[in-house]
Amino acid sequence: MFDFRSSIINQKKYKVFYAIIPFLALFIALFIGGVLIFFAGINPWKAYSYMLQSIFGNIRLFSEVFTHFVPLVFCALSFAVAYKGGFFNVGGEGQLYFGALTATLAGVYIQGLPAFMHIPLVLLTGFIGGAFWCWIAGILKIKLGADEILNTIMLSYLAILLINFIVMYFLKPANSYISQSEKIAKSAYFPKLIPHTQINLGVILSLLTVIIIYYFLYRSPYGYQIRAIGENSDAANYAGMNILKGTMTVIIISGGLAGLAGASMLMGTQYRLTPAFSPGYGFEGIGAAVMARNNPWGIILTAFLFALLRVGAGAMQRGVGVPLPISWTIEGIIMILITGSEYLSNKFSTNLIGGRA
Amino acid sequence: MDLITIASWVSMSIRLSIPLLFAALGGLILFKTGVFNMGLEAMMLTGAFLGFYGVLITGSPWVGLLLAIIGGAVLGLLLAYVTVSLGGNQLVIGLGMNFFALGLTGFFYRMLCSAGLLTDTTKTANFSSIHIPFFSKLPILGEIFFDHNFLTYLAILLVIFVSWFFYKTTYGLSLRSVGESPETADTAGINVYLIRYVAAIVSGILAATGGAFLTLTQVTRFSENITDGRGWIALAVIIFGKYTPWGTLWASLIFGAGFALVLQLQVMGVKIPIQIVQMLPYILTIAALIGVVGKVRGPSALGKHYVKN
Repeated sequence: MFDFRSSIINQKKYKVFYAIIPFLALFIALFIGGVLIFFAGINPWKAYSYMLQSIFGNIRLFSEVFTHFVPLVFCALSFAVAYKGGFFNVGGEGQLYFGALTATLAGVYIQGLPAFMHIPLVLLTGFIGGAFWCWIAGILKIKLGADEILNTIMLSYLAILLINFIVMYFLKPANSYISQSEKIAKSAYFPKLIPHTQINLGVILSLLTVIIIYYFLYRSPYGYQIRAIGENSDAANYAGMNILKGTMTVIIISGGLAGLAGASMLMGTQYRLTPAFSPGYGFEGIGAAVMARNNPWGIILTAFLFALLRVGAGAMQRGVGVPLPISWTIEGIIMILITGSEYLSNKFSTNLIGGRA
Repeated sequence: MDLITIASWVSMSIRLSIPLLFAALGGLILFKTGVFNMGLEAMMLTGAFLGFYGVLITGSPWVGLLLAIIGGAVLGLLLAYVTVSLGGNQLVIGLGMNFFALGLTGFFYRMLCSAGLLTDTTKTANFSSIHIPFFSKLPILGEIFFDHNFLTYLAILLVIFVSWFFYKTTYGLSLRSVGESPETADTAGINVYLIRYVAAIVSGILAATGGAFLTLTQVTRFSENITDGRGWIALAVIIFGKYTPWGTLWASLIFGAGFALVLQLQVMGVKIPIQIVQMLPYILTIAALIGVVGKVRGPSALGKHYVKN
């Protein structure tokens, strides 16, 4: 006899367990990081507490967290949306660059608009740029059968080189020796929310986007279709859904979000396009999405955590001499642990709910 | 260009292609069993660092190579454990490993620097070229073919060996059948997990050797992120080489020749946009993916987790 009540309790238990895993991964990763710091001859406890004190005790450092937070949120959402729709978009970095390129064009060459028109316009061009680069990957997959995992990666590196080339030979002002574009018009700058900090309109936009994506994926009929396609495209096809259209929508949104990451970096903090524009947010965003298990709300937490680690590693380096790459190490360990724990959570769901997750 | 320039270009092409060839062969072996290796970059970087570390501490490049091999094997084992045993996502684990390796090698490298063990001018011993008697003295041909270090010859021999192993031995057949249809292979009594584990470890060893090639033969020093995306180009090599050992050899030679050409032209003062040539591997790979160079077919079970019943 099927015990309905205990099944519900077990489901709750399972959900708690499922939710705890990322925190466990974080603690294990911080612990291993601590061991490394110890090897470097530094007291890990002192290093970590120094990190937290300096970030939360210094408005300048705290605001710097948000310069990383905004692009990370967009990149993580980009990966999550595509993943939910069954498209494995590993090329966020390239789409970010392409979005930054088109946003730069709209920011530099369109002058004299008032800010309330210029900002949306540059954002839109950024979205289109990223979406275009992802659309190519989609076409290559859908029309020509090129596996997206491989082609998004290849297109990503291609985009970075292409943008280096364009900046060096076309966007660089004739009288400049440094390979970088001109600054975008002041009217396309994000207004600062708190003066003299890096906390700007991008923070609000990124959080708004999280809400929009959540409602789109989980509360709209179209989002339901997309998730159905992502889970089982054969079944979705049988249910009469338009797979091609659904996948294409996902691709456009995913690429566009990565493009917005580029545009928001440009308008919020960088103001001009440079060859090494992004320090790998596209890839780090995948890490944040994986840690949040592609849940939009979770992404707010994980993107903030990754941003915190980045700024914190810098603070630890300056303050107590911990080598900066510690942040990548910790992020890498988190990703590895979360990937490995997929099995554990599947096993628990099998045991507790009595079926495969 | 005169003959001597061409000879040095070809020789440089070979030198630049060998790290790619090692990593791509390693990747290929794992791909053939149906498992993605997105951690090639991590394995190469780890190999490059450990190779450098070994030679820095002991003065012997052999110790460096040994450490690199051990490091690669450990990463391969980790990849196999997470993907084969735990059924984790094969792509995400690769990306995670890349962050991990980038962070860890950078961390230890900076520790070495701050400990005063090395400076900007530190140079370490390396595998020098084997001057093959008589042949290396031949004009032009000597420089091109008979004046490389032993790892270069080893890489070429490996191509022959892997090709023979894949297509002429029972083990090779088993390995390929695991990549095509693990269910069938399992029914036929082949240990799918074992083959994937061994392939992953070999994959790590070869990719790490490719990385060690960078620090033990060419530049004889380490710098952060020294592999600089070579792991991804190795991935391109595998696909452009149509998932075959010989194809891998030609593809890495073609890409290596492209990079050598850029360097050569820069030395000669010809100004061409370096990015155009750097884009080449990626463009060629995308072309290969969409079937411009003929049908490219990866193993059928590639990327799918296999659960033994």
